[in-house]
Formats: sequence, structure tokens, C-alpha cells
Amino acid sequence: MINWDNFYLFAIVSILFWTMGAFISAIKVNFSKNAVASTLAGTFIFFVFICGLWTHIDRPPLRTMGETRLWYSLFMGVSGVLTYLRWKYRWILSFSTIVSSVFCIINILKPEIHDQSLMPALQSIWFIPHVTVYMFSYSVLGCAFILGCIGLIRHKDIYLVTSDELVYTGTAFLTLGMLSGAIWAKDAWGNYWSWDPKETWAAITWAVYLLYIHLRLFNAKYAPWKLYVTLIAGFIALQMCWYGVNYLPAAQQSVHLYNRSNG
Amino acid sequence: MLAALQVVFGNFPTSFLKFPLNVVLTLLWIYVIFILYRDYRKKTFYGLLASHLATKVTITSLLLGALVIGLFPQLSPTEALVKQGWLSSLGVYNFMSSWIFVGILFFLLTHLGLVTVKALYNRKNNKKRFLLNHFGIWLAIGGGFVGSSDLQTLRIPVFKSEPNDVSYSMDGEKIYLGFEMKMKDFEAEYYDNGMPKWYKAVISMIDEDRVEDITLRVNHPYQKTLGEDIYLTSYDTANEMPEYCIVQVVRQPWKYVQLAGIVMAIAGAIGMFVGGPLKRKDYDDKLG
Repeated sequence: MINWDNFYLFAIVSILFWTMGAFISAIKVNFSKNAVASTLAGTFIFFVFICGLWTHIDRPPLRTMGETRLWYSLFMGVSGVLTYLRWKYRWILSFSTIVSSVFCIINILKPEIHDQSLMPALQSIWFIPHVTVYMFSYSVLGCAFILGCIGLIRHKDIYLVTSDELVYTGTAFLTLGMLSGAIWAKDAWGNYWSWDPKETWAAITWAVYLLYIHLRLFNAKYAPWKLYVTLIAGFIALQMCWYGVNYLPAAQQSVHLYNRSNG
Repeated sequence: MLAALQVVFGNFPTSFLKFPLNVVLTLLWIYVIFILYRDYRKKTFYGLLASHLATKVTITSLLLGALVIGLFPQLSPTEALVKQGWLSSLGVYNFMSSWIFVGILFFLLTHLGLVTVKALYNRKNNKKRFLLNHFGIWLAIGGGFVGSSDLQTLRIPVFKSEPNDVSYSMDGEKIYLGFEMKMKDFEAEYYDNGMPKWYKAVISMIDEDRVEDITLRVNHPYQKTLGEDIYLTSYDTANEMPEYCIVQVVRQPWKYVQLAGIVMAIAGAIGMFVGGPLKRKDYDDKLG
């Protein structure tokens, strides 16, 4: 039976595979198929856990912070491999492994596993696409953030070219997340958009990445450090949107705080 | 200037722009955008309004405006009025309806309109994607912007014992719905921890002589007329068999404009993912 009690087993095996993939890609100057295979194996094992948990709790595991972290770890593995496949950037698997592992460790130490209940507002066909699209977007933009940090220390043109690709994918999915959320909100609460704190921070995040995209389009010679700072700012806004608003005094009335029983 | 208007007049007078005035002004606005492109596109002020600088300024303004909303607790208009201090007089506690934020959105929408029209006639590369994204966002935000004065969100307790037609707006204003509602039946199922798993209410809608029974559930509103939707939001939790439920009536005739924009922008976002960023060599043509 797969449930939170044996999460640590799956997590450890996945982390081992991810670490092996990261290690192989880091020591090989050329592209390594073994690194991809190892990372994919880790991701697959992690996915098996998510599917098992889904069956066990009898609802999609997408509600609590602990559950969304699962998807983040999973998609971090996926987007790490995609970035590596596409741009052969050999350090990306190391970073995606670190981020995935950190989220696994948080889940082991502080699982925030609540009851099995799913409040009526979340029972909608939009629930799964809305949250998974967001989590995928977060992980891709996480990769762009990593490049932003590295680029800020030592700039290389390839970092910005890769960031462009990541930001286009990440922003496209962020937009899909927001718009699917808007359609859902209309059905659930009556309005597409109501400047609820979570929505507001989603808009802030979106605006930062739009700014990055337009700065890059308008001026090929734009100072790289400013672009890297924009990538980092976007990722900070994204953290606010994802879980930061839960701690924001301005946001205690938010309708999006599902970790409380305010159904 | 916008700040001065805010300090002197308080929040933007949304209710003043009700239908049909908002339709007339919107058509005029679109007309001006077209005329600006057709007759004045060689002039400096057009160049400035449609420039890259204007794009950067409008996105940054939206970002800063949203930050104000995100960092300051947003209160209802009446609560915000009671707040003292210079921040309050700038409208930060109900910033969505402040002159500054309305100004930001107006500038953003004007700019989006101008670049959309420009792309419509000029653009060669990625034209479809550009139009889907920019025109889609224009419709989605614009529909909400000009439609906000026609938007009514009303709450009404619907009783089991007798029909009711007195609803309340979000500001606490009493508004007669023009039809009556009565709760005919209510069902709910609960989790072990007492949280509702689902609940639904059967409501009799009494409109003059016509009586119609509708079933309401969370996430499943009932569309009464083209611009009017009815939602089940809450119920009497004090009694095992609820005596009443709370129904929300949303009148938003502009929702179709917004939905059209959302659908376009979804297509645009898919295009953005599939197509990815423009390659460097395309830049000069593209921006031409």
C-alpha cells in the first residue's frame, strides 16, 4: 500500500537516481544518455508514489502544501531533463536534483498532510489541470531562476538564450494556469478575477516575466545583470504566490487558503 | 495628476459609467485608437504611446499597482473610507477602484489597443500569436474594466418557510431581485471531520406566475438569463436540516467579452509554448 508512511522510501530511491543522473551529466563534458535515463528512472519512481497516494486517499493529491510539493519535485525532474536534452547544459540536473531533494526532505520532516477531505469548491474538472499546469510552470521558472543566479555571478550568452526558452515555456504555462483559474473562479465564486491576494501575486509574477520577455525582445544588448535580477525577482514573486500569501497579514481573508477548514 | 484626483475626489466613480455610457465611451476609445493609427502615426505623441518605452512603463505600472494591492490589506469601500493618513487618501486600502489604478489600466489598455492595431496592419512574423496574446489580454482585462460598473454581486438568504426577493449588494445596499426564491429541498454529505463533502439545494424560482425548480451546487451555477448567474454559496449550519441557504446572484453582461479574451489568450499561450522565443535574426523584421 502506497501512502505517506512509506513516502521516505520512494523519496530516497528517487533522490539516489536523480543524484546519479546529476553526477554523470556533471562529469561528462558531452551529452550523456545515462544521465537522462537515471533522472527519468528517479522521476518515474516518484510518479509511482504520486499515483499510489492518489489511489490511497481517493482524490487527486493537489490540495495541501505537502501535496503540491510532490508535484513540484516531480516536475523539477521533468523540466531538468527537458532543459538538459534541449540545451545540453550539464549543470542543470545538479540544480534540479537539489531543488527536488529539498522539497522531498521538507515533505519528510514537515509533511502537512491533512485529512482526506476535498472541500466542495475544489471539486471541479478544473482542479487537476489548473494545479498541475501551475506546478509545471513553477518548476520551469525554477530552472530559469537557477540560471539567473549563476548568470549574475558569471555571465555567459547561453544562459540568457536558455532562460528565454524557459521563460517562454514557464510564462505560457503560468498564463494557462491563471486563465484556467479565471474560468473556474467564474463557476465557483461568480467572477473571473477578484484581486484576491493569491490572484494578485499571480498577476505580479506574470507581470515580472512579461517584463523580462519584452526587455529581451526590445534590446538584444540589454545589461545581462538586470535581466538576471528580473528572473530572480520573478521567482521570489512566484514563491509569494505559491505559499508566501499564507503568511501575509494582508491575505488572511483569502478564499484560496485551502489548508484551513474555512470551506 | 491621478494622485491629486484621488486625494480630492476619493475613489473612481465606477457607478457613473453604467450602461449605456460605458458602451458609448468604449466605442469612442476604440475609434480614437484607430484614428491615432490611421492619421497620426507619424506624430511624436503616437510614437511615444505605442513605443517600447510605453510597453515597459505600462507593464511596470501594472506590476507596481498589483504590488500595492498585494501588500496592503484591501478593505471594502466603506471600511477604506474610515482609514486615516496619507496612504489612505491615496486609496491604497481599496486600490482596485482608485484613480491611480484605474489610470494604470487605462494606459495599459490604450497601449495594448495601439500595438494590436499596429500589428494588425504591419506585422509579418508570428502575427497570429501576437494578436491572440495582445488582443486576447486586451479583451479579458478590458471587458472586466469597462464592465465593472455593470457588475452586480448580490447575496440573498433563501428560506424554506417563505419566498424572498430582497438581496444585498456587497456594500450592504438592499436590492429587490425582481423574482422570488424559496428553498424546496437541501441535501448534504459530510466527511468524518464534519467538513461538507458536497451540498446542494433545490430552489423554486417564482417569476410572476411562472415557477421553476432549479438545483444549485458549488461549482455548478445556474444561468438565469444571458448575463445573470445564480450560485449556491453557503447555508444554515446551525440546524441539522438547514432552514435557509445563501444564494449569490451575479449580473455581469460583459462576461462574454472577457471569456472571448480568455479563450484567445489561452490559444496565444499555447502558441507561446509551441513556438518559443523568436530567434535573434528575426528580431529586426519582427519589430519593424
